[in-house]
Amino acid sequence: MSLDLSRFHATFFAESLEGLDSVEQALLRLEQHGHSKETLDGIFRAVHSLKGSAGSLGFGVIAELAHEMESMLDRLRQGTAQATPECTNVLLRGVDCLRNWIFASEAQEPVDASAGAGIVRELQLLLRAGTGGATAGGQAVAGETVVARTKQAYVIVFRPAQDFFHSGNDPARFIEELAHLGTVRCIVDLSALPDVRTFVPTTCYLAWRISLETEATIGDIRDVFEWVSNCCALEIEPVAEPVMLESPSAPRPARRAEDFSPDARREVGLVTMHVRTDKIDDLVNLVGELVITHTMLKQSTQHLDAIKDARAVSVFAQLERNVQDIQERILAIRMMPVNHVFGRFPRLVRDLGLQLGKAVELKISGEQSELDKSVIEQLVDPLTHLVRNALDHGIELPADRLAAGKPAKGTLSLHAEHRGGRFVITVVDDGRGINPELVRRRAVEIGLIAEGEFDEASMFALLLQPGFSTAQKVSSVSGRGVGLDVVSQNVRKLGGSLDITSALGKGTTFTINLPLTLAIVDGMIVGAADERYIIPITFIRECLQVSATQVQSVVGQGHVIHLRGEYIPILKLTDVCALPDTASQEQSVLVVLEVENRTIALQVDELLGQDQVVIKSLEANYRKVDFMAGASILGDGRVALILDVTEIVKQHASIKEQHRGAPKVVDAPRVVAV
Amino acid sequence: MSNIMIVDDSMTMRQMVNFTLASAGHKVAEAGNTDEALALAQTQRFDLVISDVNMPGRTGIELVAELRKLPEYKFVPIILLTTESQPEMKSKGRAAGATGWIVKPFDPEALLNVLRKVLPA
Amino acid sequence: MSVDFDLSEPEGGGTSRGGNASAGGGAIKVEKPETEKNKERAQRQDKGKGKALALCAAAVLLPWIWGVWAVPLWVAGVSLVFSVVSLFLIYHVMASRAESAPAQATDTPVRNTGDAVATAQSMALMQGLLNQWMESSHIAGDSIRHARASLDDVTQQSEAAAAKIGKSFRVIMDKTGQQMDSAVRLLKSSSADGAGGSAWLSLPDFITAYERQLDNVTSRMMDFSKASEEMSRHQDVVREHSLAIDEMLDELRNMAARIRKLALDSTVAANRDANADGRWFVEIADRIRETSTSAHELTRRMRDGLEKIREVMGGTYEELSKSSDNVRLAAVQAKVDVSQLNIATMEKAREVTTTLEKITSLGKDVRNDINQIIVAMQYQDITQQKLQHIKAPLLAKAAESLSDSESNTRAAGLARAADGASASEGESRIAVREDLAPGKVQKVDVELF
Repeated sequence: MSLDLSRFHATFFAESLEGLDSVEQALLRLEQHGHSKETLDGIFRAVHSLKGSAGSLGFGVIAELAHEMESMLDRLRQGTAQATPECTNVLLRGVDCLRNWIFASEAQEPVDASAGAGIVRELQLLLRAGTGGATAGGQAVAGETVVARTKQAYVIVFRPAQDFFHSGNDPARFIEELAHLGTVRCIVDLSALPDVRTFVPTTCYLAWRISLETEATIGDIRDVFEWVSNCCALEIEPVAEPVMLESPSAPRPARRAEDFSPDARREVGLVTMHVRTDKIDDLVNLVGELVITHTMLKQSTQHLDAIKDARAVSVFAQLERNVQDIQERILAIRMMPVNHVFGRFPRLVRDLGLQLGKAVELKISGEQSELDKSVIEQLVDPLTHLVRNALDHGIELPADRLAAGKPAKGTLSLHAEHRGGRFVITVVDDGRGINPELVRRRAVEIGLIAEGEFDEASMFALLLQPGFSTAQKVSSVSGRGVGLDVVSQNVRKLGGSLDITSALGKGTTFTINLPLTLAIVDGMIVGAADERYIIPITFIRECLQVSATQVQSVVGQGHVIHLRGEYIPILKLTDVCALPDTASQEQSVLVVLEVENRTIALQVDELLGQDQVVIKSLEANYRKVDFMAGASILGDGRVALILDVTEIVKQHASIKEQHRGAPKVVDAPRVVAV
Repeated sequence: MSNIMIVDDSMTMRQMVNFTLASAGHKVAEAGNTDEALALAQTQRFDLVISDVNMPGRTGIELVAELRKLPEYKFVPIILLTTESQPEMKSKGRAAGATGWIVKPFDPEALLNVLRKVLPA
Repeated sequence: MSVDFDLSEPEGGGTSRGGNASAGGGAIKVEKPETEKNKERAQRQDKGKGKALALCAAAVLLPWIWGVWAVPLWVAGVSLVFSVVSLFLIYHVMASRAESAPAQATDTPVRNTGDAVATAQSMALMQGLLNQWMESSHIAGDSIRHARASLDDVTQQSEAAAAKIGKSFRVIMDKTGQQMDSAVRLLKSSSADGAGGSAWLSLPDFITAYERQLDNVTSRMMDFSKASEEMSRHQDVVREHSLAIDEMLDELRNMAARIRKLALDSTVAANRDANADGRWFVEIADRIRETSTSAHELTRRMRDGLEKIREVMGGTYEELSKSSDNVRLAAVQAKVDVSQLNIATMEKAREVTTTLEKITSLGKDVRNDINQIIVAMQYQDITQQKLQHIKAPLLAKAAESLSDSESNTRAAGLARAADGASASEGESRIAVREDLAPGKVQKVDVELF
């Protein structure tokens, strides 16, 4: 018996934590955007079901506090109490307390009931006070925004049971009803349609995924399906912005279930499973191995004749397709929306803002962009630090801002997007910017540079050095100087880069540039000096063969090539890898690489083909090598290094510098891969 | 412009429904109890049946079950008009094959909305 | 059958003797010890009575003895005999009564017991029945009160509802009447509007006037379009001419080129053939003459063409100015007329709008009212049904309990009547319930109540 209970416990913990997260977000939304009945309804339902589950599983202390919060929320949503800031504060504290208790219970530690007593008292006080000063209909709270029904987007999954028609109902009518509530877009899921021979016309095989933009509440949407709530699976999720619908068969690993009704959960056709991440990691590794094996197989089947061995060839083609499919799906599993990280920032910004006495508006965009799970987890610390930094050092106090002619409320934007095969996160604040003078002074102080050696262009590199902090005193928020360098290191560990731009008095922008996934990449295999190298295809603009005549030499810049009106510097791969220069100068192959508007042409000996390669980390197996992002095993078993194109392009000037003189032989990476 | 049958033992009720639906352009036939309703259903083809639950003789739920046995009425929407809104009644009704329910007293606008839900536009 | 009752009021026995049948004994049991006691008493009583008689006799005889002296013997003797006989009779009577008294004393307890028993039972039964009656009447009273209250409620509500529905109907009629009025007024646009004057036309007139104006302007416009057609035709002609002139200019240019070539040739020729005779000169002169003739010709043609163009241009211009004047006049006229109408139009439009809005909102109101009526009537119906459901069982229960009590009472009453008729039998028939003659029942009822 106890075994069963504990299984329920695990689910209860997971769901309650999710629910508390959503409650927290909703409370913050309420604070920012004013009264919204549907948000309050949602919060109320979440707390209500938390109370129910906690009570029935014997977590009495949790249930009690939830009960008090529920009473408050009930008053709020009925409009008999006002949602004052103190009220929101108390509710947020309640959420924190519940969360701590849940963690404690999860870790099987005793729950400290006294922590909640204070919150309960305050709630009761507020409840009593609230009934005295209630405004009719809950409108115009404290002179702020009037209740305006805003449009909200929902994604509804509607899966009727097979005997749906037998009650005389027609699914099309329900979708039409939804259309009366707002704008509807609908994608049908035909996956359950059987073969025409077994098709029974009076059975319902279809399901729909509907996106709806409406001013109505979730309650109103549920009402539309009132009659058939027992003979269909219904899932309604509000989303932050209208979502581009994918077909329902695609996996959606991160499911935020704001809808807690037990019916929906029991009867939902889509089921989520909690899978341990190490299992998925194993799977990804295996897929990687599969890809390598497949490549090797492909090599050894090169000799097959397309006609004589037609069957074998088609089978191998089929195998290739299957492998690709598996690879895509597995990688997609690991991809999670970056909202997982961004989600905690509204709360952080709010609390920190209050603590520091600064008014900050947090704008988050692109939070639905997906990124590999492992990358996301490692982003949490760096991003948190950047956000704290921006709040602490970047955004000024309201008085200062007004004096400088800026609006009193500062703006902090977090933006994430896919750009050119990479994942880019920007943290932008409109604060006071980075003061070069302060940086210079500090750098000199701690001895990074000598007096007079300051160069504004490389100021940012200085900021990333350990021990650097221009804060006069160490505050509890930041200023210990262990920040930016750690951030930069973390980012680099992920194979990414950190860029800083700033304008004094205007603001600062931190840009983190990451690879989308750590696992597999499409690459072009090139050869230079008997070695094999791989260039990720996303960076390649074009390849061309040039004769010596087309190469021109520019004083002080080395060789360039004139291509369609622009002059592109040429960099020899052999220089990058410190290999002896073997290429004949007559005909050389140039690979034109482009990274964020910077273009170079990389000169290689030969182009060997295109392939998918599994990235194996050099740092994990060997050590970090300059200009190399990793290594891989080719189909013929040879080891090839993967070029870190970003670094190469950024630093091509200095590479040229280094190799102007005699080519020194830096220990050439000849590695035996494990 | 559909053919609708209303089944209720109270004449007042039948009149009200008739009036509401007729003013929306539908043709309405009345029946006072389950037996009458079944007889009427076999002589005419109805697009929709609205029935009370508590009637003398066989109840509305039994009417639903009987209607669903007839081949022409297998997929015709049948709506129950009832004073109770207990879940047990609802599930009994649905188990018998009812399409939905309306609680008495109904607002005429709501009734017409419901019609929109079950009848082809 | 042991009847458990307590007799406080025995019937029949005037003396205390009757009341000695106490509880705890059956009638039969009481009988035996009673008769023995009475016999003893009788004997004692006899003895006492004898003594008293003797004394009386002595007292009575004494005067007679004295009378012997005064009265003749036979008188004395007769009166003595009479008195003795009467005494004897008195004595007998008293003795028999003494006999019968104990005999009665033994009988009455028996009958009393039987009667008492039956009575006791009946009493108890009556008590029970009375209680039952009280209960039933309570319940019945409650139910009836309850039902009456609900009926009162319903009556009140029905009245209120009827009144409301009636009022609603009246309101609806009023509103529809208003709608009709407004619409009619709008169409007729009678002077009840207030402002008179020719500016306030009725709607149809209004429309006609406006149409007329439009016609005017339109016809002028058509004139203008005709004129512009003419003009475009002229344009075509002009274009043709100018094309011709272009050709001529080309020719001129060619000629110029030719002349230049000629000049070159002549210099070349001059250089080449210094000694030859002037043959080349003549050639050149001829060629020059040709060229100049054609040049003349060309200029003439050009001049002609330009003339023609100028003519056409002049005509076009005239036409243009004529028609543009026309249009301008028409437009001015239209503007004047239209501005007169404009004010009226705006007012009219505003009035129409407000009236239409009123009509629409009235229509909405009417619809709402009708809906409310429908809902109210449904409430009526529901309430009525609910009451039926409540009232029926209530009254049925009341009726049931009343009829139960009634039949119980009947049964008891009849049993009592049966007891009274045959009390000496000492049987009690309590369990008789059914099939009794109504006549008897009536009597019993009357008696009991």
